[in-house]
Amino acid sequence: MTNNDQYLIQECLAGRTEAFDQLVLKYQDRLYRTLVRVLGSSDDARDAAQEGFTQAFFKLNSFRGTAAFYSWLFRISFNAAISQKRKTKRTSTTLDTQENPAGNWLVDTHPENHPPDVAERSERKKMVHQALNELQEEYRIPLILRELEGMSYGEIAEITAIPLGTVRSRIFRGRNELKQKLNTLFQNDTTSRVSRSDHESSISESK
Amino acid sequence: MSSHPPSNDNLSAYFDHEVSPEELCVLESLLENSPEARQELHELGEISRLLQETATEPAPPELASSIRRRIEQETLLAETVPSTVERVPSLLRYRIAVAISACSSVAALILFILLMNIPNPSRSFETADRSILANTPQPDTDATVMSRELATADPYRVAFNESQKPGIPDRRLLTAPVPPVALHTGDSLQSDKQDHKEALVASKSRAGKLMSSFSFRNSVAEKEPATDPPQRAMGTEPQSSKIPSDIPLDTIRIGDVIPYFRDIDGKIAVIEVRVVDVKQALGTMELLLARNDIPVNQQKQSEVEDQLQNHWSLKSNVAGQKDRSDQDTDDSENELFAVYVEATETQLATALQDFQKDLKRDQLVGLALQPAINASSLTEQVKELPQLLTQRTFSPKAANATVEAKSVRALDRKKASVATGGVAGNLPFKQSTTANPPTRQSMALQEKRPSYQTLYRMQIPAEEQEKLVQQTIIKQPLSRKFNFSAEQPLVASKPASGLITDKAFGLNETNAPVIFSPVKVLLVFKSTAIPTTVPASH
Repeated sequence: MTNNDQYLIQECLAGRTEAFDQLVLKYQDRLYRTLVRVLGSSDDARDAAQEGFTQAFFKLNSFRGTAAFYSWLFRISFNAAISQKRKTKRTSTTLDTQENPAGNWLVDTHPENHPPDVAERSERKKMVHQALNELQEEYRIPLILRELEGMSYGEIAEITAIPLGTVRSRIFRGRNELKQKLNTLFQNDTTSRVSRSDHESSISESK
Repeated sequence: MSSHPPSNDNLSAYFDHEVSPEELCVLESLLENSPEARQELHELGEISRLLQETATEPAPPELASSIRRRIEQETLLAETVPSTVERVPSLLRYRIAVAISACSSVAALILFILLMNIPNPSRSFETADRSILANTPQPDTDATVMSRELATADPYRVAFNESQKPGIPDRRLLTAPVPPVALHTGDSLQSDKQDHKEALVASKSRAGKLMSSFSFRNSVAEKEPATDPPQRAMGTEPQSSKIPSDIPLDTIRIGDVIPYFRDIDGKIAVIEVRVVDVKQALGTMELLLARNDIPVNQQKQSEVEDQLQNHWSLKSNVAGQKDRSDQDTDDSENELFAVYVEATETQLATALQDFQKDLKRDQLVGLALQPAINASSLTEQVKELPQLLTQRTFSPKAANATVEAKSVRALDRKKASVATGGVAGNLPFKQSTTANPPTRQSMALQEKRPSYQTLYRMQIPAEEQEKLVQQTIIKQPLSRKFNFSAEQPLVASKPASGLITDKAFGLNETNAPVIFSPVKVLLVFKSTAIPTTVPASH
C-alpha cells in the first residue's frame, strides 16, 4: 500500500470522509475495467463498483494494511459482484454487446487518451471485446483476474473458490480459446510485426 | 498464429511464472529446442498485451458521485452524520419533501406555542390537561386496549392494538422511571390498571435543538365512542397537543423517553413521552423502499392521493359548516401523501425490518401508516379508499382476503412477538400479552368502531391467499393455522432467520411451500397539521 493510500485512509478514519473521494477517483477506473469484463455488463460493473467502494468505506476500520488497499478493495468488490450476479440470476454471461451494440463502454471518452491511430485501436478493442464476449465465464473470469489484476493462481483460486489446478487449466483454456477467436487479428498483427522485424533485420544486416 | 495449440497448460503457467522448478527445467529445455513452443509463448504474450491494451475505458463519470451519495445515505441511516442527501428529483421525493417541509414548519409553530404556554413547573402535576380528560372516553370494562395516538390533527396515528384485558399492566411501563412526584399522588396504584403513554414526535434541527413536530401517543384502556365513528376518523382533530411543563423541552433529545403523570378521570396514569424524528423516518422509508427494489407505482399513487385529498377537502368543508373555527386548518396542512408499492412480502418485510433497524426503532412512531385496506380496494375500489382509510368496513370477502401475519395466531404469538420485537420493544404501544383471542362480543364492538393500525400492514391478494390456503390445508386444517380476522393487524414481520414467508404465515412448521406472491401496499403519510386549539394556559 502506498503511503498516500495510507494517509487517505487515516484521514478518512479520522472523520474527514472526503479523503475517501480521492481513493475512489484513484481506483475507480481500474476497478471498473476489471468488473465490466468479469460481469460482462457495464451496468452491473457500475453497481458492483459502487457497492464495493461503499462497503470498503464502512469496513475501512477493519483494513489492516497488510495488503495493498486496492487488493482489499477489489476483493470486496468482486464478492459484491458475484453476490449481485447470483441475486439477479442473470442468464446471460456474455458482455453486453446487445445493450451497447457499438461497444460504448469500450469507448474511451477522454480525448487526451486517444492516440493518432484511434480508429485502429478502436477496431482492435472491438475485436478483443467480441472475443471475450464469446468466451465462457468460467474461463473468462480467471483469465481476466490474471491478466488485468495480475493475481497469482493462488489468489485466483482463493477469490473464485476453485482449486488451484482448475485455475491453471482454465486460464490455459481461456487463452487458447481467445487465441483461436482472435486468430485473424493475431495473424495480421503477427504478419505486420514479422514484416517489420524482417525489414528492421534487413536494415541492420545491410548496415 | 500457430494452428496447433500446445498440448498442455504448462506453457501458459510458465508464462505466468506459476510452474514448479522441475517444470521450469523441462520447459526451458523445450523452448530452446522447439520453435513451435517459442511461437506459442510469443502468442501468449500477444494475448496478454492485447487484453491489457484494450482495457483503457474509464469508469462512468457519475460513478464517483453515486458512491458519495450512497455513502452519505448509508451514513444518514446509521445516524452517524446527519447530512442532507442529494437526490434525483422525482414525484415521490417531491411529495415527501413537501411533507417534511410541512411537518417541520408546523412543528416549529407547535413548539413555539408550547413554549409560550409552559406553566409554572411547580404546578405542573396538579394542572393536568383537563381538555384531554374531558375528551377521554370512559374505560371499557370489557374491552380491548386501544393504543391511540393523539397526534396533532393526525388521525392516522391511532392504533388499535390487540386485546388486552384491563388490569394486566404493561411491564415496560411499570419499569419506567417514575419521578418522585409520584409519591404525592396517593393513587399510584391506578397506574397499573390504566396505562397512558404518549409519544412526542419531534424533529431536530441541524444545530441539534428541537424545533418541530410533536404528537402524542396514548396507550390507554378506554372506551371508544361507537356512536360517532366518523368523528374518530380522518376529520377528527387531536384532543390535545399539550406537553407538561416539567418536561425539559430545551434539553430533550431524539430518542428520549420522559415519564410523567396525568390525572385521567380521577385516576393517575403514567405517561411516557417519546421523542422521535419525523423527518428522518420519512426519508428513510423512501430510501429503504428503493434499496429493497420495491417500485413505487406513481400512477396508482397519484390516483389514491387525489381520492384522499378530495375526501379530505370534502370533510373539511362539512366540518367548516358546523364549526367555522375548524377552518383554521388549511388543506395543505392536512395533505396526504400516498406511497403505493407493489412488492413481495419478502421485499416489504426486509424494507420494514431495515426501517426498524436503521431508525433504531424509536423513529417508527414518526410514521403514520394507514389502516388496512384489502386487496380489492387497491384495484377496484379506489373511490372508497378514504372511507377505507378512516373506517374499515370489512366485508366477509375482504375479511377472508386478509391474512393476519402475526398476532391472531396464538401458536405463533411468541414467535411473532420476537419478529416484531423491534417495534414493540420501543414503541409506546401496549402489546397484548394474552394468548386468548378477542371475544365475539368485543369483536363485534370493534367492528362498529373505526379501527386504525399503526403497526405495519400487508395485504395478500385474495387469489394468492386462496392459493396459500389450498397449499396449507393439505397439511393442517385451515382453522388451526389461519385465523382470518379483519380486526387484527397485519405485520410485515421478518424473522431473524430470514425465512420470512414461512414464519410470517406460520408455515414453517408444516414445511409448506414458500410463496412469493406480490403484495400491494399503500402507505399513507399525513403532514402534521397545526392544532386548531391552543393549549390552555395554566
